[in-house]
Amino acid sequence: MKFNFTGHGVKGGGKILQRFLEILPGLTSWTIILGMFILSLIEPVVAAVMIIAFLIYWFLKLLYLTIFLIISYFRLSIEKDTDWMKRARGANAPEAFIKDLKNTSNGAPFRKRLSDYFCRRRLEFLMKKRIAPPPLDDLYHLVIIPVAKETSDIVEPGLRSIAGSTFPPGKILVILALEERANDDVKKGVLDMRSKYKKTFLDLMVNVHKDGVRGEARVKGANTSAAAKTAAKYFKERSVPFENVIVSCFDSDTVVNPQYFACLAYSFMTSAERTRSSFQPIPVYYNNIWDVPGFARVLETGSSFFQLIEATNPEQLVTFSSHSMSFSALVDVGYWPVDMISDDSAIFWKSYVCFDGNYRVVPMYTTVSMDIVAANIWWKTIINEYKQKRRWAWGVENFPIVVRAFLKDRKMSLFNKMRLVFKMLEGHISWATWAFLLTVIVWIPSLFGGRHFQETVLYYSAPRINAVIFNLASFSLITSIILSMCLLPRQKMRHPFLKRIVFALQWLLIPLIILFLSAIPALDAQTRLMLGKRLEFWVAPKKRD
Amino acid sequence: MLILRRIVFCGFVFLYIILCPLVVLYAFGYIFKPQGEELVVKTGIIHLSTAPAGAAVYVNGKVTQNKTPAMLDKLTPGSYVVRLALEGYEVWSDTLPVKAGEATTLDKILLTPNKRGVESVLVGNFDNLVYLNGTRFLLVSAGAALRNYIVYECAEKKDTMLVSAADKYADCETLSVFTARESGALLFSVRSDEAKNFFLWFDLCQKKPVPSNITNLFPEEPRWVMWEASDQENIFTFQTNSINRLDLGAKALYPAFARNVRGLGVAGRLVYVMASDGTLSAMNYEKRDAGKLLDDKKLADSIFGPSGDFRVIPFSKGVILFISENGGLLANRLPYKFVEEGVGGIGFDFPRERILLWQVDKVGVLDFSTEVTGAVSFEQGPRLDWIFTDGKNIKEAFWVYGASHVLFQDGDEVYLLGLCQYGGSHLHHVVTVKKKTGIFYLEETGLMYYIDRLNGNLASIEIIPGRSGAPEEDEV
Repeated sequence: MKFNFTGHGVKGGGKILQRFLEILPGLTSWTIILGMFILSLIEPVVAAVMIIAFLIYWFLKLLYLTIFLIISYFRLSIEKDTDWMKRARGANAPEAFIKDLKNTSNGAPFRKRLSDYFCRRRLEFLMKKRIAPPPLDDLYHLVIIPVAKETSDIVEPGLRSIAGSTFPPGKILVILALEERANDDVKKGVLDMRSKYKKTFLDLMVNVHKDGVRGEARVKGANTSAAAKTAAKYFKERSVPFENVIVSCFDSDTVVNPQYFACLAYSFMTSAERTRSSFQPIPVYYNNIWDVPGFARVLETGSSFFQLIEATNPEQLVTFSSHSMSFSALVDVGYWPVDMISDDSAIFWKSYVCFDGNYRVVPMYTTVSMDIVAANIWWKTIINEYKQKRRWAWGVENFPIVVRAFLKDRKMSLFNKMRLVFKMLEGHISWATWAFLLTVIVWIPSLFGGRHFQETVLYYSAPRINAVIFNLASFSLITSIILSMCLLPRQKMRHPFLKRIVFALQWLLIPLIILFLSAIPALDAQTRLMLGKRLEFWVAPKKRD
Repeated sequence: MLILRRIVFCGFVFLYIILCPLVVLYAFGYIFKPQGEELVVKTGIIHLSTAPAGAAVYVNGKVTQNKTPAMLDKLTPGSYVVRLALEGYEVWSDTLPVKAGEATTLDKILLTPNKRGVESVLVGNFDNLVYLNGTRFLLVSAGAALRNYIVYECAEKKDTMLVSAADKYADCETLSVFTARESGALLFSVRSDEAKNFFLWFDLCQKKPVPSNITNLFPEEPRWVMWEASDQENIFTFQTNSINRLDLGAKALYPAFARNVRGLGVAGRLVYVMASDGTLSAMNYEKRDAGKLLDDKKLADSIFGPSGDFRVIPFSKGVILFISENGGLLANRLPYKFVEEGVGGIGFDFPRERILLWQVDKVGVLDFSTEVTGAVSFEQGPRLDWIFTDGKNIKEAFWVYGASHVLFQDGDEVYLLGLCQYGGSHLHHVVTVKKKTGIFYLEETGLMYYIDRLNGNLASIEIIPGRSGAPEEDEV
């Protein structure tokens, strides 16, 4: 479907609809928070019942998510030692490879057998559908790294990691997408890196994105789109079909593991509709995890967990942060939105709308590591974290555009459209409201319910029921602590055991973190959208010791 | 994975549909009782909290696993005999009703110690005790001369002489003492050996109280003197038919602040003035009109009558109390007149909008809270309950333990009365005090102060167990 995926310049009835849909999430969140607060004061019995019903829902959802977090973590751990390059090669001769896998699986450790089983099932599915994966030798990777304020000490580790890939670096085109407004140090660093790594890759190009191009906002998407257009020219000149190019749009601090591009190539080759797919790795924030305050560690580990859980639900998975996709699809949809801050999720929705719902995200059980936003002082780190989470929550800007697109579309199923819209709205609203309900509102009926409420059984039973639910929910917290400990990178450091214990204890900050560094930034973003205020793209500062 | 996710999702939805209504019903008190006549019964609860905590709980003679504070839940509607037992304390027992879905709450039970902790705090053969209501100060004296007065700060347990023996007013004899709620200042009316009358102002909050002679601000003997704790520089005096304002800072007298009056009250930087025709108005300290509160002369006449003076006491949420010369208690709420005469004093329970009042033979509670407790189709006015009616010479009463109990002095005997909204009341004798002396209770420490009848010392006795942390020196 042809649809101008933007919230700007909408005219006529569409403008009113766009504005209404911009108001809807913020208004709903505020109504829930203030409504429950007022209800707790004037009708504490009704409020207490609603809180119990909500807490049961919250607990069951938490349990449900924890189950899939464990499954997803297990899935990630079984692929930890997988030789993806071997698998990518094997995908070109699936029959022989399946046999080989069967042979090598016998007597192998349980994890490897499971991993081989998943691989076999995927290849057998392709064979059944008579879909031939493209030859591995014909595949190219395009990596776009936007640079605005980041100096080479932030960017270079990422380049080094790409150069160390098991997938031949000679088939990887890297573009450093440099903002024209970057300062001289940044520009010099980029040029130095270009000379240093140019020969390592197929090529390392520097694409300077001009400031103030008409129709563009100062957002990452404008920069990466310009770089992608340069890459398109490059591949066209060399007659490389776009269908054989996989584009990865990374953050400047993204460090990939050596298997990443091999895993991506394998995922791409074995996807039934590879040119209608994005590929989402699990983002982890390990680059500077031991250099930042505890609350930031807990917060970002939570973000990784969220992606791990989402990975088990490919039907509703949306791209986030560093991700990859078919270059052909990117060109077909007209590149990343150039006026939206949340370009990572926006490109998925743009593709989904463009291909009439025939677009999906394929989860990859491999990690990409990034920096936790940080500063020299802990309270500045809090501010940076707040700004970053607000930027993430600004993903709500997709909501009105997607709903408008869905209303226009006649090909997608109504059920799918409703399901996705509900998930999107529910996700943003629960992000902004749940922490308030769990940490503040839950206590209001008991504290301010008045004398009549105090004379009811409910006054005494509600806090006890709530306490039981919170205690049961600690199962999820303990699971999260254990998994976060398992996920942590092993690194040489002083007092590693002590550090890990402190890290575990830092999870007790969760009630404060979810309120101040998750719910409030989300509510801030929704309120801004509701009031018609725009958010400036904010480049998160990185710090490594 | 998707199929697994869908199966688990459906399972959780099913679980929620089943679990949520069950938990909500349980929260309302519904329980499943297969042995009973009905399978599902709506129950009630009893919530008990004692001072001190840790009492064993018996219900209908059977011991429970609970120790106070305790919640006895899943009780089918009916009456339950509850007994609380704690070593060193008298057994507390009462029959409590339980209604379906409701909580019977007794969260302020004071257990009576077998032997109350008593401490002599000041040695001396005292025969008079004066307290500053709403503060931590009290004064004791042996004789009426000013030199005999000792100021005692109850929380810090510090005593100081009111005036030094060398002070020129030391030998003056006290005629009367004026105090104001929550104010650490007091006004003495004294007479010297030369039969000269003086008015001396003391601020007890100062390290060493120094008498300030403000006699020249009193052209005549006042009947009442009023001021606010928040502004101790502006004093209002009520004489026959008129009100004067005294500015202590400027040592200035503003006579005839209001004329032709028969009532005075001061609160919230407003002066409440009742005119001779019974109409009521408020004005600020600068004499600017702040509103007519009652200007219907007919109504005023029917409420206040044609004569008689009134102390005006603004209480809460627009409730104004009036106390007449003969101890009649009136309010600006129907039926206006609550006690014809004989009210000896009142105490305030601001959070619950109640006042404690007493006459020579009885103690009562007047409840101004307007919460409707049922489907009341008649206007529900303030309710006066006489909670003790067997008194002989009730002199003083105090709210105790968050206004859940009343401590009162009847003649020389002091009693503690537990108020129970479910019927039973618990009356305990506390102590016998020296004849013709008063008592003082400070909620902050949970101690009552009195003059010991045996030795004339100022003593304290524990009313709320464990609150004061005072060592037990003596026993009663």
